[in-house]
Amino acid sequence: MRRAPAASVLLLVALFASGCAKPVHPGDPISGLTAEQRDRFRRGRAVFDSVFTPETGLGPLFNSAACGECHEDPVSGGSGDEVEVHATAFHADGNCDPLAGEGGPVIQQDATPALKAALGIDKEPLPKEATGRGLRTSLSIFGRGLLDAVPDSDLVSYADPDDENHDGISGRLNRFVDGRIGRFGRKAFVPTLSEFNAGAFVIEQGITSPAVPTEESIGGAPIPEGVDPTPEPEINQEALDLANDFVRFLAPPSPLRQTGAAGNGRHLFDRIGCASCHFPTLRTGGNPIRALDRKRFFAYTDLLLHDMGPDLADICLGLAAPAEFRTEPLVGVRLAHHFLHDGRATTLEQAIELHGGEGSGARDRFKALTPKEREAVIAFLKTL
Amino acid sequence: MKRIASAALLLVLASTLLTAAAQQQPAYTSIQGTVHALQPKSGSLDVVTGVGMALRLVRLAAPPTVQIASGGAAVPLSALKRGDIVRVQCHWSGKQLIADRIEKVGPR
Repeated sequence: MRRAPAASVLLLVALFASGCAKPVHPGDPISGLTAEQRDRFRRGRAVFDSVFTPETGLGPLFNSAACGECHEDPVSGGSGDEVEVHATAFHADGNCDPLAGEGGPVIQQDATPALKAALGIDKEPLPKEATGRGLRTSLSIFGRGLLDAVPDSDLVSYADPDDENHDGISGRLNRFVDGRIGRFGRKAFVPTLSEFNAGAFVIEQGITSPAVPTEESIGGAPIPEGVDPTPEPEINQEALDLANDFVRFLAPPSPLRQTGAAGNGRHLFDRIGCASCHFPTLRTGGNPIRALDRKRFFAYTDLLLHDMGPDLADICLGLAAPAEFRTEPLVGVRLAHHFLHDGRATTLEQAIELHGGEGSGARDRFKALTPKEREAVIAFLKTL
Repeated sequence: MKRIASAALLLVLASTLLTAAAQQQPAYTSIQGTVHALQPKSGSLDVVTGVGMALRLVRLAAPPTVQIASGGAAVPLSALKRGDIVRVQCHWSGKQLIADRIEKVGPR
């Protein structure tokens, strides 16, 4: 892994030092938006919180009836306690089959009454072709618009797939089905935030839009006649754009004050190597939206794939092997109740101890710290 | 008069059905995705495409006349393999999507 330039450390200090700036709370928009953009953020939140019914397009397969049903804690855009099921097939030749012909990698866990009546199923069946199954928690989406605005060229510069600097950490890019660089989702599969959102409407809620005008199949089989009578698309472009703007303009919450143990923990976080993957800050590129234009922000991710060891491995996706996951952005981690991609860790300490593969060096150095130093690292994480 | 009214009704019905059919088939003119499967003998190509996590398997007919290029050179359909990224220019013929030109963009 190529390290973030030293200049970013100075900027980090400057960002932390700017404590006199008005703190950003979870659910706030990013600063510097125009009045029109703030209005779109507010109206977009209404779309995000809209609860769909079968009459307004929900399903026939779905995971939830509203975006805000899974991203709700402590406010819209936060995390949720829902856990979804993903499945793919990893072949011996290294190819990953996302099971697009069998209904795709997201296995919906609920069905409308009409589908239940027609097929006698209450969720999407797991495809027989699947070789791996993974659980995915609903994480907070604060600051995703900033992550979206980081140039691809930065991700390329961070990658070190062959570990040429011999630090034990590689980091590589994932790519979408059309070859573009991915960054969203636990496997960094989806290239842009707007595509992630448009896809989420249909895979999570069964809500079609002009961007995705066709429903998911039922495990590869067509939807029975009369089960989904709402005409496509079930939301229009304006509603989709508003929801996109809400998500894009959601700010990362300000870190809490890092005094005492937390301040020491920040240095330890860097010293033991956590920051080799959880880059404290990233920078957006040129952007037509001034509030997203060339901004350095707290991210605690490099948006790259890392091998996390066989114990965490579940599904492949794109170029990501079952054991590879994108470095989780730690912004807002203080608000989370479960950690890692499937929520198996209930404390931050557990989450660190479950790091394997490329994360095992930092994990071992964390375990070698004194109890007081470990507490300091955790105290630091609880300020993010 | 009755005959004219019936003919008009038929026209409206036909037009509605055609519009509905057109709405059900996304009007691809170009797709870019990953080769999922190919049958060179029968001239069939399956490509995974999609938006976000909403992925779709698109089946195309690849007739013998289809132009296939890789790195600027013409290649046979059998030169493609699962996992390759391809850009396909195509058109609808009835319910079938026909490939006109396939370009291998690269391995993933």
